[in-house]
Order: sequence, then structure tokens, then C-alpha cells
Amino acid sequence: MRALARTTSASAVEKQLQAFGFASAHPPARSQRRFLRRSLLAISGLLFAVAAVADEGWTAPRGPGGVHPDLNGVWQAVNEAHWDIERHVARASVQLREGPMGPVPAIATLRMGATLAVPPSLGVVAGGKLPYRPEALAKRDANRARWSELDPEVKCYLPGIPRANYLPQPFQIFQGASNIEFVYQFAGANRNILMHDPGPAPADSWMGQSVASWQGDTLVIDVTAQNADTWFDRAGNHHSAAMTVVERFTPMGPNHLHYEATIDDAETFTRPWTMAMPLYRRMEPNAMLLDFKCVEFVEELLYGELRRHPLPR
Amino acid sequence: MELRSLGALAALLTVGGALAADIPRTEDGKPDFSGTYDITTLTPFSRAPELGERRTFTAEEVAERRQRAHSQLEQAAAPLDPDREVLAAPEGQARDRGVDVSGDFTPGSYDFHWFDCGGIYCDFYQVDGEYRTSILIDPPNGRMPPQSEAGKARQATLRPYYKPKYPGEAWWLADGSDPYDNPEGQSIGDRCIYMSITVPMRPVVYNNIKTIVQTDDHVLIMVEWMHWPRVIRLGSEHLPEEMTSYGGDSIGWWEGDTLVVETTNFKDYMSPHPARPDLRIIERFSPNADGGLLYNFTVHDPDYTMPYTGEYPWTRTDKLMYEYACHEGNYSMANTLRGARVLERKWMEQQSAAEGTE
Repeated sequence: MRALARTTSASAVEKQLQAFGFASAHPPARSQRRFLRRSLLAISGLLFAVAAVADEGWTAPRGPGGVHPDLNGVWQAVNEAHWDIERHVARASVQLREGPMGPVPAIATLRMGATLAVPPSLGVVAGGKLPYRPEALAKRDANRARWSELDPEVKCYLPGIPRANYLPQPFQIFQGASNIEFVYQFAGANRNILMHDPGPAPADSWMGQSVASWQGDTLVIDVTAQNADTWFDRAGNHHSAAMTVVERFTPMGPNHLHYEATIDDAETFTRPWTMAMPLYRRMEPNAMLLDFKCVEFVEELLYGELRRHPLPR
Repeated sequence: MELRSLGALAALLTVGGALAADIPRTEDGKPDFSGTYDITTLTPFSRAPELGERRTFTAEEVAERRQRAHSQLEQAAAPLDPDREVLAAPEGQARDRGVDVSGDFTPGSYDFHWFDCGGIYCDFYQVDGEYRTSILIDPPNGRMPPQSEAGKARQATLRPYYKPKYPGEAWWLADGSDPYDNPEGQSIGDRCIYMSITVPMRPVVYNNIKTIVQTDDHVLIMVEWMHWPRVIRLGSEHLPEEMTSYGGDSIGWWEGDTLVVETTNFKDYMSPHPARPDLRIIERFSPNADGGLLYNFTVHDPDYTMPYTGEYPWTRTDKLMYEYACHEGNYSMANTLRGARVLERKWMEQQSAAEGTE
């Protein structure tokens, strides 16, 4: 079991190295591995705030059924990815306009002050930046300039994958012996994780179709048939309906998972790209999902102008 | 393994008509309810009044009713006759034609294709080998108990449910009601928050799929309609009273092979009241002989003179749950409000024109 954990962490390390362009044709020897791991940690510290290395000597306890690791729990990302998955310096606001001496908050976000300022981040994307096609980059910039009108999160729409995993709210994995369900506090979104591939989904949807398999201790989920209407973050980063996502959830210690998602969308990007981050267990003894059915919170925003007696806007 | 042996020892005990050893069990010996269920049924929630306290149908009655239901569905699903008589468009104002709330004028909602009993034929269910005449089994007449005085008093404070009265005109301006003034005034279903009732769970016209995931400390019931992940905490305590929601707070425990779930902390909808502190619902999930489960519920609601109880089976299915994204495509909400504003303008214009000619 320990060997399994080591293999997993080593392969996770290799994955990351490959993401940074350190491809290796042959599995490295242990000493090399240690060197690579250290190198990776050094690189991670600089470029990529993720250390995909299982706790030393730790093996993930088995979940229901006794075969696969136990992913049950309430999890949450603790990072800036929900603001902007790319590497970025802090911005005055999530939506900006030109001011006389540089960008200032847009009218829509002005009164939110520092609460809607974008915190800085080295990014969760390998390489820091997304490989956009030129027209897709222009669309991203246009999305960002009209964030309050266009971001599906603002409207309480289902967030899609991968965004659901790093929204600033917890999600819970329910893993039984024979089936798995992901439940997100935001909007009560969910994913039924299919352990058998039923073939192509009958139609595109907001959360897509998730078909999973276990590769060692990693739950690998292929997400297909997502529509084009979800975003990656509050920075206008977007995709097309051609996107497929391959996610990897690997337990790294009793209280954190390594999360990785490889996005393939030739209509939007010049090549597939990968994001990675740790997901942390919510440690409160009473950690649980609570009700955040946000539909009713956005009725004034979406329909307020259509009231018989509209409120000031 | 020892627990499984204990399970085998208990084989002589029958549960819900099933031998205890026959049912699938989890590693810790509990019945394993995990999987996907379809609760579509032809059996009605309340019993037809003429059946009185008769709890079961005979096989002949079921055959006759099944035939009637299926031929209605076939008729609805059949292609239209291209030579059918074409109905003339009605002339004049709806009010002049005497159309009102009777509902006769409504064309129905969706095509039958979208209903679970439309695309596929559904059936009456059996419990213990008997065809039931209603889901409600107590009160003994299979109908909702009378409202209590407290319930009547509370209802008087609630926003009424408005039916469209005269299509094509702003009739509410004449009687001073406010059916379409605000989005919050529309039904909880039209608002894409929940379908009318959350708990107890009832068969509905479509999206009847439920998926259960069972762990040592949780049971998740994924409800297809409005994508409602219903989390039941086992061995837990209820949330503090102020933590209310439409779906309530559900805790569960095992009583033998029955999963008992208690739900409280309900938030009220369609009313100015924030909470229903006295509403308490007990649900019981028991293994069924066919591998499914028997779902039983008792609602303790002071709005009624007595608690009421119902039960119906959940049948396992190979069908997959599909995403129910309602809010994301809720054009009807904007169009309902927008249409009402248009009709109000028309009404006001007609009023001022009428005043001008007097």
C-alpha cells in the first residue's frame, strides 16, 4: 500500500514536470525522483503554488468497498482561482474602465471598493497564461470588460467544470461502495459520477457528463458535453462547447487532495492546457454543506426592472 | 464478515416482504439503498372520494384503469389528423366570451412526450402484493385531513394562489390583486427554486429519478427535479432553529433495517412567515422484496387536525438522471412579468380612451 502511494505521488510529480515541459521517456530512478521532486518543489514555489507530493509514509485509507481511497468529505479550494485562474497582479476591481490616469473600477462595481478588488496570484495554470487563439483572447477581454452583465456566476447559473471545484464555497464528495456524487454548495449544483461510460450524452448541459475510472489512487473523471455558457473564473476566461476536461483527484494526505484538470478545446485554445491546485478538507467538526440556493438572490438583478413598481436601480 | 454472518442469522426475519438475508447490504451490515430509482406511478396521491376507506384495487379494477390511462396517453401521443376540423380563432375580448378561471380554455402545459407517463407507460404499484388506491394511507380515507383552526388562520395570512382569469387583459387592475407584480410572487416552481413540495417526496409528472449514495455517516438523495441534492446526516443533531431552508434539515438513524429520517427547520414559501417551526416530517426507507425500497412518510403539520401518512415503492432503474437546469433558461419569468406590463399599459390606454369619450 505504501509503495502504491509512493508510485502515485511520483507519477503526480512526473505529471507536473511534464506540464512544465520536463518530459521523461523512462521512469526516473529513486534518487532522480528525489532530485526531480525537490526541483519541482523549487519550481512550484516560484511558479506554481502546488506541491503534489503525498505526505511521507502516508497511504490513503480505503473508502466504502475497501478497494479505492476514501474521498468522502467536505472540500474547498483556498486560492484566487475563482477570481482569475491566470497569473496576475492585483487589480482595482473585477470590472474596470479607463480612468484619467489608468484603470479604475467600472460603474457596476464601484461601490464595492476593495471587496471586489482582485487579489494577486501566481495562477493555477501551468505556465501561468492560457494559450488563447487571438479571437478567443479578444472575447475574454470583452467578457472581462462587461463582467457584471456576462459572468454566469453573477446570475447564479450552474458553474460547470472545472469552475465548480474552486468556487469560494465548499463541496462534498459522497462516495459509496458502488456510486459517487459530487455536490456543490453553490446553487446546489451536482455531478453524478458515472463509473460506466453510457456513450455520448444526449445533449449538452451546464455541468456536463462525468465518466470516471480509478487509476491507482487517483479518481480520473472525463467531463464531456458541457455547453459553451460557463466560464473558468470572474476574469472572463471562457471556452467553447467543444471543450473536454480530464480531471484527476488524488489524496495527498489525510486532509488534502491534489486536483488537476486538463482542458482540451481546439476552438478556443492553440493546445491543451492544465490547471492544478490542492483541495483542502474543511476541518470544522461540524463542517457541512448549507443551503445556498441563489436563484432567489438574483431575482431583483435579473427581473427587477420588470416589476410593476420597479425599485431604484 | 462477522456482521454479514449476523445478517445471515437474521435471515428468518422478514422485512417489507423480503428476507433479511436477500437484500443487498453494505460492509457494516446495513441495507444498501445506493443506486437509482424511478418513482413514476399511475397511483394517485389522494384517493377518489367514492372509494371511501377501500385501500386496495382488485386486479380487474387495475386492468381497467390501466387500459383507460394508456389509451388516453396513446390518444394524446397520436399524430394529429391532417383533415381535422379547424377551430376558428375566438372573436372579441376574453371577458365577452365569458372565459374565466374555470380553466377550460387552457391548452395544457407540455406535450405528453415530456411527461414520464407519456413517453413511457407507467403503472399502478403494489405494496405487499396489493394494488393501492392512493399513496395516502392515513387518514383511512386516503385523503388529506381537515385543516386545523390554526391552519385556517395561517392560510388567511398567506398570499393567495392566482389563476389567470381573463387571458389577454390586465384583469387584476379591476380587482386590485397583484398576481404578476413581482418575481417573488410567482410560484416556487415558476421561480425555478423547488417544485411545490420538498419533503415528503412525491411522484410528479416528470423528472422522477432519484439517486441514493450511502456512506457510513451520510445518505445523499439526489432529486432530479430542480437538481436538489438532499443531504441526510446520520447520527447528527438538527441545526439551530434559525437555520431554515425550503428543503429543511434532515437527520437520520437506523432502526433495524429501516432508515428513519427526521426533517425540521423548514422555511415557508408563498408567505411572509420565515419559518415553520412546528412542521416535522418523518420518513422511513425499508428494503423491498424486489430490491427496491418502500418509502413511508408521516407529516406532523399543525396546519392539519391530525398527522397524515403515505407510502409507495421506489423502483430501481437503469435510467440515467439528466441535468434539470431550470433557472438558466427561465425565459418564462421575464416574459410573464413583461407581458403583464404590456397588458397593464393597454388597459390604462383603454381606460383613458373610454374616459375621453364620456
